[in-house]
Amino acid sequence: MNGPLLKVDNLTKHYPLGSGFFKKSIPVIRAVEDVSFTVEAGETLCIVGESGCGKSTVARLLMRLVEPTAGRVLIEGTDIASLKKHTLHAWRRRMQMVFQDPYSSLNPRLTAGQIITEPVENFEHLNRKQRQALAADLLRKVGMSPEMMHRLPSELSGGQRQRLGIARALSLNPSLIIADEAVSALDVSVQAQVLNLLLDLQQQMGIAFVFISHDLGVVEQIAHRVAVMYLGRIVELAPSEALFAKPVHPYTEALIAAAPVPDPTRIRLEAAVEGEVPSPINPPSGCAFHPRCPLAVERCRIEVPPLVPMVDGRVVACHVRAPATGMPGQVYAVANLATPISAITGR
Amino acid sequence: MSAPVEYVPTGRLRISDLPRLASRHPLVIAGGGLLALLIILALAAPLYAGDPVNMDPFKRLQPPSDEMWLGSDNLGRDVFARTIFGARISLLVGLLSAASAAMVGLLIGVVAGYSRSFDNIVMRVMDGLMSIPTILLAIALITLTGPGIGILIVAIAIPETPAVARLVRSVVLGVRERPYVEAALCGGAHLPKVLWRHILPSTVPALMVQGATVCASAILTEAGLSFLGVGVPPEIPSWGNMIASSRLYLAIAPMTIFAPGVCLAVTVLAVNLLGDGLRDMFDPRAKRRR
Repeated sequence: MNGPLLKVDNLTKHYPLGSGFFKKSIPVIRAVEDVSFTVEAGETLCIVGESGCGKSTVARLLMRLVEPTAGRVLIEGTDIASLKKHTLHAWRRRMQMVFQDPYSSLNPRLTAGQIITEPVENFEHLNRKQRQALAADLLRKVGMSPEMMHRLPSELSGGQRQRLGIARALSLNPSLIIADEAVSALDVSVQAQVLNLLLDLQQQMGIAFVFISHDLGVVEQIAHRVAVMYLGRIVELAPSEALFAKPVHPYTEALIAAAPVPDPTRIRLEAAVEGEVPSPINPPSGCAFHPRCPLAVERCRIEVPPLVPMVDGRVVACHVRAPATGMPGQVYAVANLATPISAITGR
Repeated sequence: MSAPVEYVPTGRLRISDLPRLASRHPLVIAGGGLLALLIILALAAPLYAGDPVNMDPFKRLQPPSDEMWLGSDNLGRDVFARTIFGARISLLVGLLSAASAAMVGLLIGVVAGYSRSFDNIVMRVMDGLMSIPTILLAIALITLTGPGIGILIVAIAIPETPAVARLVRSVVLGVRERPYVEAALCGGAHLPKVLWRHILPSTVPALMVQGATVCASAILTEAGLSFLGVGVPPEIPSWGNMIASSRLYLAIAPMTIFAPGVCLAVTVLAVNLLGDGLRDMFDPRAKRRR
């Protein structure tokens, strides 16, 4: 297969605030701004960031539950963001979604079997026997007993419900699954089970994941590559080990430092990022992170930093840590880590 | 009375669950039972009641007797038979008006709840319809077409439809944002299937409650129109007709006006009890008492 499984180009979503019927210009929420990334077959890309940074909007844009304002979403070279509704139908088979809330994402009136076989029945007719066989097969795949197919969601635990959500996504044999905070509503022990299930499925079936999470512990466990989003933009995209070992963007550094680590011997880096995420209605000029960034210089207030590719395969958008050389096409920068945040803030 | 009912489902609602659910709600039993009794009495009328249209000029305004249990009216017709046969008209018009208002309202409500562009236009039209007085619309329609049960049902259903449509729309607006609806779309379900399988079932409780309210008001409207002489044709016995033609003889033959009046009150009471009971049954937050 040529090229990546999923290629996202300059994806942008602005939500207008109210209808602009009588007003000439209406304010917009810049939920997702110029986001680009790729996902290879069988790979896990995690998208992390604080609440409201546009992670979930990216997921909904990928599934085309919302229409993008601009940009392309290419699956195996086909732009599904511009497909007509009826052509889109066929592409639904290629990518599926696992939802955050295992309670509200299952119709309370349908049985487990009906829920997980519904996607297939949207594409082909199944008789009673085929439907039961499919339901049993899917339930086994997610580690549940086939007898569960007659249960209602209200009779199942949170972990079992999320397994149903995964089984539903698996039913169409997709090559890509988008998991939007798929484990954050679960208990830690159940979380581990569901994560292991996802990893097993990836190994067995070669499914690629776009895994959206705010939990860095989970991300470190499953990600091949990680994209860090801040206020609708990707600020750093790096292979997982590299990102966790040596975060380059100050926001990434702060995020990793703030994550609780269940290891008393590991020294926690105190990163000082204070304040709230600014409003996406009126984002700060230049680099959106500059009001909270201890490294910010004058240039950060004026100019939006471009994503600069670095020698270890990551891209970073930061004027201080990854200054662009100004030569388009071959900008290779070496991270300027001479000034760690902790040194600046004196903590 | 017609507060929006948000049914919070704990599981699937099956027809077979209804008797068990109802058994915990005495209002449903009382209203439903009374209504069922009335329907049976009305349907079985030819078996035990006399001829409701046979006139006997020599037995006008008779008091109750063995032959005519509730006496006779000013044309010598059997008041008991007319009251029983009148129940057929009231129930028929009430139930059919409620059913048609519910069906049309459901359709409009679902479409308006799902389609933004349609919503604005349709709901403004509904607002307009709501402002037309029921009686005036019915009089206008019946003047145009001549009296008949069909046109009466249409005339009563039209002004009741907007209330149903609004209620259904509000339920659909709430349900369409649920993640399971998005999940169905992700799974490649077409819109009609999403509506049918994931959205319509949620509207059923609200629809049943609103249907009962509409039914009660339709029965009263029918009686009112018949009383005014623009309802069912005068040769067909109906409670409204009976009350209208007997009001001059109230002092001489009070049964001619009490019988249909009491029946009308009991029927509306039964339907309202049922409606209130259903509302309590479907709304887990509603307090049983006060």
